[in-house]
Amino acid sequence: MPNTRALDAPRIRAVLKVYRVSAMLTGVFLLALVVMMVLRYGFHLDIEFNGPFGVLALTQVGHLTGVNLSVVLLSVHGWLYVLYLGLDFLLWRLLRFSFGRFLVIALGGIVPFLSFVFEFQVPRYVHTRIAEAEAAQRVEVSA
Amino acid sequence: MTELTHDEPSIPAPPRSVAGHFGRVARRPRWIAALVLALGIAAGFAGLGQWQLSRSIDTVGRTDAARDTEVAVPLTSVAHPDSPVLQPQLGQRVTVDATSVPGDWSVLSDRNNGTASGYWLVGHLVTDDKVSLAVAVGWAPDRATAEKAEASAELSGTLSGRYLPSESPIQSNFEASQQSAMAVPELINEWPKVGSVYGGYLVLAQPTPGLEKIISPEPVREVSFNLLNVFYAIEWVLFAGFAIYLWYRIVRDAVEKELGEPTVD
Repeated sequence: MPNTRALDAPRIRAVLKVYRVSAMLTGVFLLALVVMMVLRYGFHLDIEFNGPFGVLALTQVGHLTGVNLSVVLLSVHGWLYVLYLGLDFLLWRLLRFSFGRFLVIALGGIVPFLSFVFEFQVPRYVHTRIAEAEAAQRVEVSA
Repeated sequence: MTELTHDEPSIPAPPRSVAGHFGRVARRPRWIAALVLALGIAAGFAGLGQWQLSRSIDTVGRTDAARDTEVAVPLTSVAHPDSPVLQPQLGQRVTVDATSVPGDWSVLSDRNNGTASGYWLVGHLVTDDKVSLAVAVGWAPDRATAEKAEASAELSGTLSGRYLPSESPIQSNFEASQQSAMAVPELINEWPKVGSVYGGYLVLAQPTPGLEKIISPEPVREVSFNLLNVFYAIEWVLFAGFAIYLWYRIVRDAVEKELGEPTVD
């Protein structure tokens, strides 16, 4: 049976736009998170904002009096990743691709640098799928 | 044609019932296994949520290390000279190797011990590292007794007590030249020779002869409710629900595929 269901192309494109921004943001914060993790668990240091040692300082974990940027990074990345997963979910539902692909895209927020690859790969895949669906529609209409 | 099929106009024969088919497909071993997996993941998420919740009701200062204020540790291991007393150090039982400085004694008024108001004999310790530390030696019901106790208040060797933050000098009544606050900044002005100073003071566990023990209870840890962790707990619950929903969605996809709705890899 041919793929007779037309994809909701305008909606997919809109979601895709937000997905790209979210992939970039998540990727940037993931890198910051890696730095923060190395500092915290490797050197036992947290990033302190506006503490006694200046606007930005590396302070021993547990001795911070200013804003703990390490914790901020941790939670911001957490929420950005939730957004990223939500968009991944929307694309999955709208494009009806496999659950495996959904999971692979989900890895983008966990594996450093991967989201930067997906930021370009996913739109390419999505556009191909939309084109395929539209071609199938045309065939059906003309048949 | 009672079914809502308006968005699937080109399916020749609309599925009799996706819902009816769902039960049959879901009972297949493959999807039961997937359900077990989804439930396992959901349980894991719920567990994480519970852990977050337990973290959200935490006692301040016990998060970094399981430090017990009632086990005496060397002062040098918890406090640094010339810095204020931080929350985790507050009320910590400490030991310190120090000697009292003769002549640097003073008496503070309006010091409550239990329900009785009286006087503290306070002094100036110099640790073996040459750092000054204010010490509250003991309590007396009247000024004369407190002043008399100075004579036998020589301290040296390993001293033990509780480390508390300096009080604000504002509590002292200057006009009556009465000092009632255990204010380290005020005290160091009266000591002729001071180098580095600890920001807090020591309440001796055992008073010197002629004085009563200063009542210094175990600090009541401030219990804080960390909203951030509460939000995370809620988030985990949502994730747990989502794991179950995903299972449903995947099975439904399989059903729709069998009924002629294709999915693409």
